[in-house]
Amino acid sequence: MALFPPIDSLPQSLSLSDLEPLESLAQCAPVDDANVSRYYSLFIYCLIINDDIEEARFLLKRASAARRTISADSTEVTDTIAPLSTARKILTSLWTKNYVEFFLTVEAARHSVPLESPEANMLRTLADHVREANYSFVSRAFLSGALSDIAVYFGISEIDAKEFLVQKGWRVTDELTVRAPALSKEPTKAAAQQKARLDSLTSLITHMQRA
Amino acid sequence: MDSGTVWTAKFGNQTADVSEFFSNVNRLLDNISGAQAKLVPEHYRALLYMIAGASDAIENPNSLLRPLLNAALSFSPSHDVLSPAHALFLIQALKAKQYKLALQLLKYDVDKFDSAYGLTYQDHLRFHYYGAMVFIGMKQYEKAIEYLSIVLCAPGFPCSMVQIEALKKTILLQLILYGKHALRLPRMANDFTSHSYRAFARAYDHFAVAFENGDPTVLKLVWNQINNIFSADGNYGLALHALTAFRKRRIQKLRKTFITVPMEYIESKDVDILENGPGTKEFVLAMIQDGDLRAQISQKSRTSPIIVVFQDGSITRSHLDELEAKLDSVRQLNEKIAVADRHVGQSREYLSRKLQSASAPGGFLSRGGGLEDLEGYDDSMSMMEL
Repeated sequence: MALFPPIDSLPQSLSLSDLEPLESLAQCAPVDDANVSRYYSLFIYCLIINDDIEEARFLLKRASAARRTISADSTEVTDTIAPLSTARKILTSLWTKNYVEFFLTVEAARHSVPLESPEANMLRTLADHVREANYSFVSRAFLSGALSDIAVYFGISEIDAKEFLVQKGWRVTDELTVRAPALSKEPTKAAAQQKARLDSLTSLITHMQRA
Repeated sequence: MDSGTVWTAKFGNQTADVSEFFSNVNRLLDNISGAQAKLVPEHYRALLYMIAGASDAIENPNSLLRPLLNAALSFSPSHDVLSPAHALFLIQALKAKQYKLALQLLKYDVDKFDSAYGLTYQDHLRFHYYGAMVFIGMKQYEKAIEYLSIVLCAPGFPCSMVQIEALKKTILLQLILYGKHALRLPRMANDFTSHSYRAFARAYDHFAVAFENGDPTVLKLVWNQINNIFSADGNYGLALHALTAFRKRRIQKLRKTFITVPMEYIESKDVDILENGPGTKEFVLAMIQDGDLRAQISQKSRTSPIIVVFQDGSITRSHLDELEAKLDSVRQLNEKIAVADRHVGQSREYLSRKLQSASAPGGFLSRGGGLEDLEGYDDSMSMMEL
């Protein structure tokens, strides 16, 4: 049986195609192999970055089932090796939309690993990805709001959040509330293409009804 | 000695290295076609169950998932024929929490069933029931209801416990998706089994009535009485989702009355049955983020109230993608129905029934129809009653 490869021997920028084939090896690896815990945590982060949080949850369950350890009194306990427990905390905070905890945990995890390690790169990418997704949500959900409420979605201070939003065209009042930029009313090319596509699908439905 | 005996003998006495065993199994299952399995159905089934038993014995249901998937997919070129590997693969995938892998099998509609492959009625029920559980795990609730409907409509006397469990899940899924459960089972369901369903799923009916009633006090009372039943049935998670759906519906209903509403008013209407969820503001923001509510938040200053501005739905690219995918599947379904229609029209059972009705006064032929003219077919009878 092939041995599980050391994580540091994998490519620096990991993708799902690098990580998926290794799962069958990981399941057969020894329970206390910290290398495998690192693998599972990286795989979980990669799935979140690819917007597959459901599969990340199932992977965590598979990893936990595979890594169960038996304590001296034969009571089964969950593996508590740091990388996997950190990944669990990050995933749980995202699942419950607790962004304060998410960004704090990611920051703490980044400081606990070497600067150029695969974990540091992946965590940096993960934080940026969530920040970007949250900006998309904030610009959709808020017409105006308190800076303190909005800043939590980015995991940055109110001052940094203010600078960030101003760069994006938001206006900040003296009372530290922000207002979204006004949307352009001109039809875009994408909207025109969408309308054309909708028209063709509508005619297809009419044709199928008559057929 | 036939090939089936060779298979079971070879792997029944396997004591070699585990990885070598799995690799040999993988190679064997890849090379068995449906035609070969049809020759020795009982041996093929025994082989599959032995292999599944081996992965259960080493407590690693992941180990033989891929070979089982390949066995199911290689059974027929069109992937629409039920095989003994189908249900077995799904149960192993559920144990291994490999839902995404299970979808690789479930993306094909299975509508051909041949008992010559050693299949039984239970194989058909179990495949669709486990398939529904995979879809539930992946939050594809509409597809799950479709698969559960197939289980509920399956003819049988008496009804199977698999069908009872399917009904329980169907009720909860309908509450989550539509806010109400169907007053009747699907039209094709057998009358006798319909009565049996009600007897076994009474607690779920009770919960659904309280849900539809809309009174949170009543719902909480019913929940406290019967939540242990959900737990015993393995439906506690789904029931919790139903309670979350109840909370969402109370907020969504405000859209019918208001264009803008203060958050304080939403808080007065909001009810968290279990009182362990997020606060109203966080819950509303989560609904907007998940696409369950089209609204925007407005707060002009720190001291002014938070206002929720409801919006009309807009068609997005993902809606068009979904519509296109559904139209494509409808087109494929129409083609399959046309083929099945011709096949049934030429079957012995259909022809003998036509001859019987033709010989009766005012029968089919006297109306001038041909043998393939299905307009004369009495569709008040179930297609399954032969």
